[in-house]
Amino acid sequence: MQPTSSMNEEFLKKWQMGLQIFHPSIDNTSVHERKKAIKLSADVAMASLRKGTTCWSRALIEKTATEDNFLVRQMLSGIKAEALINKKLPKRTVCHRKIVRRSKKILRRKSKSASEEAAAKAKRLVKRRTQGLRNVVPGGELMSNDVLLLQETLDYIVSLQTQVNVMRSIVDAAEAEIER
Amino acid sequence: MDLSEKDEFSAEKRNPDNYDSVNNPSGDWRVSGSNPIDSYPSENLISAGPASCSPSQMMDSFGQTLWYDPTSVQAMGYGGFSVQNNGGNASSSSFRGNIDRSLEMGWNLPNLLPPKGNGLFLPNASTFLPPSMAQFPADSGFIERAARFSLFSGGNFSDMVNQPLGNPESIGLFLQGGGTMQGQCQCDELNVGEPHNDVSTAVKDPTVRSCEQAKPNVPGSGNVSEDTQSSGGNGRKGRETSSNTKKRKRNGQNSEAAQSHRSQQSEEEPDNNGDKKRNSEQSPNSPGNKTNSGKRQGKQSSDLPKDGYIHVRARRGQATNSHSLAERVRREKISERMKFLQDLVPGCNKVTGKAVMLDEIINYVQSLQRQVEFLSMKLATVNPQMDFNLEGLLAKDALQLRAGSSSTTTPFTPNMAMAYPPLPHGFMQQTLSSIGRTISSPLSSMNGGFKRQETNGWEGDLQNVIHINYGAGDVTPDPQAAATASLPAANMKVEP
Repeated sequence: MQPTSSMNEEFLKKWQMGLQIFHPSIDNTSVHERKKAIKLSADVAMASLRKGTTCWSRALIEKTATEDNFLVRQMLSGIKAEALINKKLPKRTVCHRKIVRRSKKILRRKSKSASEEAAAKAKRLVKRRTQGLRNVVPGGELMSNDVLLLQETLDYIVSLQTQVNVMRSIVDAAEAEIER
Repeated sequence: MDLSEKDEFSAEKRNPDNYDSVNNPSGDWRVSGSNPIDSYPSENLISAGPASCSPSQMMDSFGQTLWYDPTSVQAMGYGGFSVQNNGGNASSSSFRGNIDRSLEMGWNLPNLLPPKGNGLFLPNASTFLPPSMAQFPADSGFIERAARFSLFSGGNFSDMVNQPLGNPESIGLFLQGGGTMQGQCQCDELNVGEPHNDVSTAVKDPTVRSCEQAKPNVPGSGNVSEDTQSSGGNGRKGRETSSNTKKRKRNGQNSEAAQSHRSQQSEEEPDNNGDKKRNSEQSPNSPGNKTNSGKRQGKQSSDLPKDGYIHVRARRGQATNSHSLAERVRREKISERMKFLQDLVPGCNKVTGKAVMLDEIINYVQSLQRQVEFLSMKLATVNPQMDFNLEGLLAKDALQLRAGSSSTTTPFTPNMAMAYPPLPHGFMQQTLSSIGRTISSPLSSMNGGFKRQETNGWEGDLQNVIHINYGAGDVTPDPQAAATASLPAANMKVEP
């Protein structure tokens, strides 16, 4: 599934709305400040497109709320902001690596055959990669099972593509303006 | 949590508790809500009914859509339903008609269960469906229509599916499911006696036809099959205790509600249609509470509607252990998702195997995130005043968005391993050029101090960008070095 033009437009509108919040305060002349403002408003716009139905969107909004609570509250008017921010996300599960490693060693001792070891290795690889995916996708650690993780990844990728497309087209348009 | 108990028909009395515990925001009870991921077998919806995932997660995944405050139902009355029935297809209109009828009959909210009669175990389903449905005096035909309606949430569902996901396959499945759903509610009693795996799909058709005939004779429909769920391990599916056909007749009423709610779930998973098998276990009280009621072909992909559960049948020669079945369902789900992801991530068509795919996916997501960073940085530099002229830009956007949507994918096709360099390289070009331009413009409009500050800022940022490019590995160092060297200069030449 590719991002549709309607998604692009919605994202653009929400993003512009977020940027308007910054517009009065142009004293943030530093590039970093502006970049941060742009990126945060873009993130919140992207996440709000999903209206709280997906895990990653809520996690993303929560993350940006820690950086710029005001922006988030302004962008998500009223109830939605409260509901999203106050929702209790599942606890992040913390596994102490030493313990996990030791238990895995013990398990490994049991399976000796080559094919089993190969399968175990493949499993380990997959597990490591899913863990990597959890780190990348916002709210990934909160997802309890792989199926949900993959689904969220799917949705997240589509939203990211929307975001990138819109941002790139705006940048191109802005540059074209400057060139004139 | 209450949810896990919902599917036990014996738990009827506990239903009022379910409602009390349910929280619901406004009356947006549309089944699939605003869930944009519906075309994928949406775990979210499945989890809503039988709760295996954590309650908060389930609530979250459905957002505000599914839960419905009984009190508010009463307050909103019919209007609450009409809000959602925008689609206005046949089923929804019939549903509306039924609602009118039932409203006339006057349902009281606290009395969740009809005292007798059809004894629809609606409260069970209504945890999933709007609770108000529980109170409709069981006109079983109504129940059926309600189930049908809930499956599709009027036309909204397909609309919803259409917009966010242009997945024609899923939509087709939905519609197909909708068509066959009508027969399904009654179907299983006909299927009851059927033997096993080898029965061909042809079996299904006559039953479907007969079901559709039987449909108008709703009162007899109490014997909706109780197809129980598939994977106990996959807690999302609900648990049923009744198994065989005899039990089905007893619990027919109850099952209807459960069916509708299960069918809702199953509706949400068009892609799992092909996986609809039945648990071959016959034990009524299997520990996992799995039962297999009817026996249908796994191939009968349009059989979704009856129940929200994915019925898993053990394939010939495979273990019938409940755990392994659950495992298999889970594995198939995962592989399904991976297939979607393969379509989404460019350049992954030739890649096979979970680990490599996951690797590609991770890389792709990371590159997308990096692109966002680049672009926001670029925007910040291009437009110091941050006054993005919407009207002017939008017009151009309309032209460029279409091109832009393809451009996200094209840079990555050549070689996934070295995919990132082409794009950041392009960014680098543009960034440099834009900086070259914008260095001169602030000079005219702002004071010198500002310019100096800007330049330093850009230099630092560009160096970060360059380092990232080096990390990608494909970019030749020379142009970058030349670029950085020339940065402090007021007039920069772009060196590709």
